[in-house]
Amino acid sequence: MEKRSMKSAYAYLVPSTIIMGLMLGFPIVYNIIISFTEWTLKSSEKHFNGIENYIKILTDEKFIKILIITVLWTGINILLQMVIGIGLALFADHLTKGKKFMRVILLIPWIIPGTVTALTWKWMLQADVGIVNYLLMHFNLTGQNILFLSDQNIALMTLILVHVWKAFPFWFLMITASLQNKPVDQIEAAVMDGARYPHILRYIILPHLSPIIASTGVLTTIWTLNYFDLIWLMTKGGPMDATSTLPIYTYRLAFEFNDFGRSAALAVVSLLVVSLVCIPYVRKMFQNMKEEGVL
Amino acid sequence: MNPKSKKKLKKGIGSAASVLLMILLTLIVLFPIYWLIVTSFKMESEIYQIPPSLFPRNLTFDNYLHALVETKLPQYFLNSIIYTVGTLLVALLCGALAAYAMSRFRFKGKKTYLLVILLSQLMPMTTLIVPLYVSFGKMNLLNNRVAMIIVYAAIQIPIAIWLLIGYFNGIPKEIDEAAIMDGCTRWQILTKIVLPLAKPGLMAVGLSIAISVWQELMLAMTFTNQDELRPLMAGVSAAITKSGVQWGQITATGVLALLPMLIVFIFCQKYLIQGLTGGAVKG
Repeated sequence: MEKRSMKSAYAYLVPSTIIMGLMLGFPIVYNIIISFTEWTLKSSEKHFNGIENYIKILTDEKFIKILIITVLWTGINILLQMVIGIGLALFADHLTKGKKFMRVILLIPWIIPGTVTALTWKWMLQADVGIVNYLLMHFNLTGQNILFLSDQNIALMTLILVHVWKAFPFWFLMITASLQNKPVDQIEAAVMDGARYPHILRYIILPHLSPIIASTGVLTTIWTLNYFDLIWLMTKGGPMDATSTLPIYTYRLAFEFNDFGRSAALAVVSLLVVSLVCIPYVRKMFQNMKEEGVL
Repeated sequence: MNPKSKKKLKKGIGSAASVLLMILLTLIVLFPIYWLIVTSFKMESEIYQIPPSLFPRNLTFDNYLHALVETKLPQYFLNSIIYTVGTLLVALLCGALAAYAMSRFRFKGKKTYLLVILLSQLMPMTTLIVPLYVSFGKMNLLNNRVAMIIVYAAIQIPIAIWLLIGYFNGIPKEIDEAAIMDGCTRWQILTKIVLPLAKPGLMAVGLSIAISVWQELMLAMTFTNQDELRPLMAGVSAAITKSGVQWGQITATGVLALLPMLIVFIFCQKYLIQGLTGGAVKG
């Protein structure tokens, strides 16, 4: 019986394994091979060139710039999403009326496709005819039109804010879900003892939330790091590469500069960066699985 | 002022602040969407007026008419539906089979399989794009519906398996054992017992797959360049990124692209939230 069941277990895995092997496994291997190849549109014959692509990337000044932009994009994004998401979840948790309404409203940005978000904000942020500049001028908050997307000192921050608008609901949702089973008894006991809200927050609620904050943090960090749509549609990485994050630059290397070899090498670098970020998360997931008896 | 009324006042200020904050948040979230919709109903001349009008003075459907009749939008819509439904079928079927094995059998390599599933969810898509583009080009699979669906399915299967394992584990294994006693085969247990019981889970997973496929941009714009095969987002993105954007027409397109999501949101909120939080909430 045991043996038979083991064999049939593999049968159930066949379809998913074939598809994933074909469209995820094979490309990754092929990508690594391409990364060691000189492969541009100009050089008609492609040939193995060792680690030259990697050397070219790592010694390129642009690479440092792109790395810094990627770190800024991801770091500021996560910080803002986290603070806003947790803050609002705690706020909504306190509401007696309008709790459900707030939950529905705050979810909306999440379900709007990135393309639609991009076009909506691109329209609102137009320097000359956009409503945002009009409102800022109207309330005397700025003397002249702000070039939200074409000033290289502002563009990255603009994109970060738009992405925070779209992405904070996930934080809100996760924290809200976790607040559903907060330790009510402990909180009541603390209130009886005369504890104030900041203390309850610090010593009971936040410790209760910390595992979910950690896993949401890793998950959203990876998503944000890999995020493509908004940046591509609103600035294409410009002006002057001011909004070029790793995925944007990797894509442009391949499909604008037609350098498949270097693009593939940069993709491998991205893969390594992402792996570093997600190791603790994967560990935690496995621990949970073991506790639940799946493994 | 006696302490009691002081407390009352404090509470009053508190709730007033709450209401204010709620209004502000609602505005921040809803105004962009309102502005998208309002712009789409304005004539081109009114769109660029300063000061802008908060409500269209001359309500017009021209932008929608243009989008639906003079552009390839209906074709894009149809393509998106084909990709979404196709991916949904393939990914749910493969995902359910694998998740069932993971939930009900012990076998060698289970841990490795789980690791692969977890890691492939976190993989940057940029690692796929060049090798797939090159191979599809060689095998004449660019602008190919089946190839698109299989790629999308491959990306969605790991998350589908991951979430479905959770739902399947929630179904007591005693039911399986009882069914085996009654002479059911493993296959019958899956199709007649586990799948029907996991219906809410399947709905949640299906929705999250449908939403991500509907939104996907990078692969869509790289692997399809013919109007007959382009999905909606790739079509819309081409219109946004070219110079000289006609904002009236493009906002109308945006509203149309948004509609299916809004409908899903209104009718399936519960499943949506489940699918979103299910994978990580226990973490």
